Amino acid sequence: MITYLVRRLAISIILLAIVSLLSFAIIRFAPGSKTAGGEEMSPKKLAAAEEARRAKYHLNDPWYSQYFLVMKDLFSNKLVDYNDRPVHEQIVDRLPWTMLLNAVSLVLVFGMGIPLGVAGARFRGGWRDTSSAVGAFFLLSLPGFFVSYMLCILLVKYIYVPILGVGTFGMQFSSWWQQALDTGWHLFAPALVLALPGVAVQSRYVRASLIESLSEDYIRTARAKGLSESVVYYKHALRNSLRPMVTFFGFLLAGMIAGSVIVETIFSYPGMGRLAYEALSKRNLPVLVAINFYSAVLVVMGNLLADMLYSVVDPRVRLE
Amino acid sequence: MTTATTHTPPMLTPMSTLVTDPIMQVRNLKTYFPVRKGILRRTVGHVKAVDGISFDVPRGKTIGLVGESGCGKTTAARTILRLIPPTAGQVCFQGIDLFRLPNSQMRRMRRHLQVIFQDPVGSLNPRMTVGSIVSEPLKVHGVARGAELAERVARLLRRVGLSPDHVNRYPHEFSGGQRQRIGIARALALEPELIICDEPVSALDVSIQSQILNLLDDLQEELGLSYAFIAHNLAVVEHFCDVVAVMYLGKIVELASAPELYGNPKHPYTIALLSAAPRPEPNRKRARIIPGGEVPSPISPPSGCPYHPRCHMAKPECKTVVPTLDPKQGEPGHVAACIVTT
Amino acid sequence: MVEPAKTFGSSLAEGLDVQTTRMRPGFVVRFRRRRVALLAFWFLMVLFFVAVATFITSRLGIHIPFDPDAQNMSQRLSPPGWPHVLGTDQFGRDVFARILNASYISMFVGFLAVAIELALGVLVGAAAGYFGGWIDNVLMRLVDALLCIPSFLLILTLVAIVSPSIWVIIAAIGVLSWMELARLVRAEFLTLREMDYVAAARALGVPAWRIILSHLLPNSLAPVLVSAVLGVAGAILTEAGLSFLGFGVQPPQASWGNIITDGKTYLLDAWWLIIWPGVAILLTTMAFYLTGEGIREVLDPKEGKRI
Ligand SMILES: Nc1ncnc2c1ncn2[C@@H]1O[C@H](COP(=O)(O)OP(=O)(O)OP(=O)(O)O)[C@@H](O)[C@H]1O
Ligand SMILES: [Mg+2]
Repeated sequence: MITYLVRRLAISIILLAIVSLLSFAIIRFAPGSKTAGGEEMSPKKLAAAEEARRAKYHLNDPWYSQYFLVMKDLFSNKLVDYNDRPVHEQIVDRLPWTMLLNAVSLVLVFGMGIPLGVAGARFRGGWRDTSSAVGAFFLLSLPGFFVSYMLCILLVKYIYVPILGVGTFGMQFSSWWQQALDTGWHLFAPALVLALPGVAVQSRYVRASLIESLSEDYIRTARAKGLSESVVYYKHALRNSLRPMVTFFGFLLAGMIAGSVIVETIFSYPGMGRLAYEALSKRNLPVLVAINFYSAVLVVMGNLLADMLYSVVDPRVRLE
Repeated sequence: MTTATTHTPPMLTPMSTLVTDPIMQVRNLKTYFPVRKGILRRTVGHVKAVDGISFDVPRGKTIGLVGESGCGKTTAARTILRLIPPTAGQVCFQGIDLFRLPNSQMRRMRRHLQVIFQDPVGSLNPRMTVGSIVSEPLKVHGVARGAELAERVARLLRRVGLSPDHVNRYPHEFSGGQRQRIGIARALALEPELIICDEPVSALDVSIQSQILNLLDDLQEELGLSYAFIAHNLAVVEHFCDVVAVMYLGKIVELASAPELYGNPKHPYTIALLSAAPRPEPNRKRARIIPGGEVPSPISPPSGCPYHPRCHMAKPECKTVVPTLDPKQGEPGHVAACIVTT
Repeated sequence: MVEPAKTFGSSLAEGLDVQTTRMRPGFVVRFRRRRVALLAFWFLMVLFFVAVATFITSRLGIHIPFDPDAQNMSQRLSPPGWPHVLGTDQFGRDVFARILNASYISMFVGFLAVAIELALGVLVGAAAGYFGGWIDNVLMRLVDALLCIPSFLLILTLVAIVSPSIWVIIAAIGVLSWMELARLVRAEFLTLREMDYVAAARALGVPAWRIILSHLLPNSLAPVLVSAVLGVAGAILTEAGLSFLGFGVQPPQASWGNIITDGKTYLLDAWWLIIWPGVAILLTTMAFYLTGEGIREVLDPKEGKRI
C-alpha cells in the first residue's frame, strides 16, 4: 500500500512536470504581441513596456531557467497576468466553485449512469438495452451549449426562475439556509449539463464490465443462493466492476473541466471555466497557463483519490 | 530443392561420440526472465526458464527435446533463434556463433535456420492469404518474384500436400492439420538446413499427427534436413528421433540415442515419463510410476537435484548434491544427471 | 481543393469493405442486422452526399434553396414557414441554407482532424507497443500527461493563441486528440506482438517495419476503425464548441456552432436559431457514434446484439 502510494505520487509528479512544461511552452512560444492591447503608446513607451514585459516573464533567460522562474512565481503568487493581477489569486478565487460544481456533477453522473448501465446489462439484448444504448449516445452527442440554452428557455420562459450566477440578487441578507438552497438551485442546471456526457460514458462502462463479471462463477452462485435479481446486480456485480470505473474517473474529470468552459460561460458561473473564457477573449496567456496546469492538478488528484477510495470500498483489492 | 551441404568444420568440439557430425551446437544456454517488484520495478528474482543446456544437433538427423509443459522447451527454441535475448551461452550453427552476429547478418542467416510452431492457429496471420504467407520469406530475402514466385509457392504447397488453388484462401478456411502444412511450407520456402519443430503435432488429432510426422520424415529424406524436434511426451518422438534429450525445469537431465533411451533409461524422471507413455508392446510390463506432487516453480527451484521432491528413488543426499550429466552404463555417450542410478 | 466529404466517405466504405473480405465473412450481413446502426449509417451516407453537393454547388454559385449569406432585412427573424422552411436569422438569412452550408465544414473538420489523429496515434502507439522498453515508457508518460490536461481547454488555448481559422482548428483538434488512439494501438500491439505469427515473421528475417505494416497493423485495424469513426463525432462536437465560443469557424462562413452563437441574443424569441443547428449537430454526431458502435459490436461477437 505504502509503496503503491509512493509510486503513484512519483508518477503524478512526473506527469505534472510534463504538463507544466507543456503549458509553459504556450507562454514562451506564443506568437504576436504579449501585452494587452488597447491604449495607443508612443514607440518609446512601447519599447519600455516590452522591456518590462520581458523582465516580468523572464523572457530574457534561456527557456529552462525561465521555466523554473515562472513556476516559482506561480506558486509564490508573483506571476501576474497582463493586467498585473496575480494569477494565483484569481485561480484560488475560482477553484472552490469549480470543485463544488464538479462534485455535484459527479454525484449526478454516478446517480444516473449506474442505474442506466445496470438496466442495459440486466435486460441485455431487449428493448430496454437498445434504448439505454441509444439514449447514451444521444446524451454523448448533445452539445453542452445546446442543452444549456434549451434548459434556459425551459426554466426562464416557462418556469420563471433565475438561473444565472450563483446567487439571486437580493438574497445576500436572508438566512444561511435560504442562501444555501438558492446556491443549490443555481448549481443544479450547470451541473446537470456538465454531467450528461459523463452519464452516457459511465452507463456504457458499467454495462460492459457488468456483462463481463456476470458470466463469472460467483454470480451464478449468488443466483443459486436465491438472492433477488437486483441484489445480485447491484451488490455483487457492481462491486466487481468498480475497477474499470476508477480507471475511467480521470477521463470523466478531465472532460467535465473542459466542458465547464462552455457551461460556466453560459450560466455565468464564477468557476475556472469562465475564467478561462475571459482570459481567452483577452488573450491573457499567463492565466491560461495557470488554468491548464491547475486543471491537470485536479485531474491527477482526482485519480489518486479515486484509487484510494476504491481500496477502502473493497478491502480485498490490494493496490500494487 | 536440394540442399548443398557445405561442410564447415564445427567450431566447438562435439560433446561425445553420440553426435559425430553436428550441424548446430548449443553450449550452456541460459535464458532467465526477470521478476520485477516494488516502486522502482527492481528485479527481485529470475524465472530460470532455460538453465544451462548443451546439446548437438546431428546433421541430416533429428534430435528430440522432451519434457513436461513449462520446462522451457519453447524458450530454448526461441532463444536459439534469437527471438528472445539469451542470458548466457553459445549457439554455433555451421561453425558460426549466432549470438555474436550483428542483426543484419543474423537476418541473412535465418534462411538456413527455420521453425515450425506448436499452435496452428496462432502461427498464421489471419489477415494474410496462404499465398502471401508462404511467399513472404521469398520476398523479403529477394529470392524470387513475379511468375517465378508464384511457381515456387505452388510447388511448396504441392510438396506439403495442399492444392496450389488454395493460395487465395485465408487460414481460417483450413483444418488444423492443413494449417500446420501451411506452416511447414513457409518454413521450407527458404530451403533451410535446420528446422526447429516446436511441438508441431501436439495440437492435432492423433490420426493427423502421424500424417504430419510422415510428411516431416519424407522431407528430411528428400532434402537432407536436420530437425530439432520438441515434444512433451516420449511416445511421439520414439520413432521419429535419432537422439533424445530429456528436459526438466530448464535443464537437460538425460541424453542418449533414441533406442538406448527407450530401452535403458537411467534418470528416474525419464523412467517415470516412459511408464506413463502408452506403449504398443503388451509383453513388456512396466509398473506405472507417476511423478508425485506439482512441478516446482522455476523461480525458486528445489535445492540439490531439482527433481528430488517428486522422485520415486530419491535418497537423502539428493537434497544437497547437485547432479551433473555423467556417463552411465550402456551405450557410449549416454549421460544422465542422477547420483542414484549408475 | 479536395472534396472532404467525398474522399472520406468512400474511405469509410472501403474500411467496411476491408472488414468484409478480410475479417470474418458476413460482416455486412451482421451489420445489416443492427437496424439502428444501419439507419445511422445510411443517414451519414445521405449527409455526405448533401455536404458534397452543397460544397460543389456553392462553389459554382448555385444556391439551393437560398444564398446562405444573402441578407434580407425585411424578412428578419421570421419563424419557420414558407419559403424559409427553418426560419431566418437577425439579418434575414435563410437558416436552412446556412445549416446546409455548414454541413461540409463540419465534415471537413471531422475527417481531417481524425486523419491527423490517426496518423499520430498509430505512429506513437505502434512505436510504443512494438519496441517497448524506454521508448514505450517515454511515449506513454507523454500520453498520460496530455490526458491530464482537459483537451478542449488546451485546444481552445492553442486556437486562441494562433488564430481561429479552419486549418488551425483542424490541426489543434488532430494534434491534441490522438492519445486515446495511441493507447489503443499500443495495447493491440502488445498483445499481437506475442503472437506466434509475429515470432514466425521474425524468424523468417522479416524486417521490423514490414512486421509492423503487414502483420501488426492489419490485425489491429478493427478497433482503430471503430475509434476513428467515434473520433469524427468527437471532432465535430469540438469544432461546434469552439465555433460557439467564437474561437472556431469565423463568420460570415456558417458553422453549426456559430449559428447558435449568433442566435443566442434572440434566445427567448427566436428558438429556431438555436434548435435547428443544435439538432444538426446532435443527429450527425449520434449517427457517427451509432455507426461506430455497430461496427464494434459486429467485430466483437461476445457482446451480443444490441443496436
Ligand atoms: N516472457 C516470459 N516471461 C516470464 N516467464 C516466462 C516467459 N516465457 C516463458 N516463461 C516461463 O518460462 C517457463 C518455460 O516456458 P516455456 O514456454 O519455454 O515452456 P514449454 O516447455 O515450451 O511448455 P509447453 O509444453 O507448455 O509449451 C515457464 O515457467 C514460463 O512460465
Ligand atoms: Mg512450448
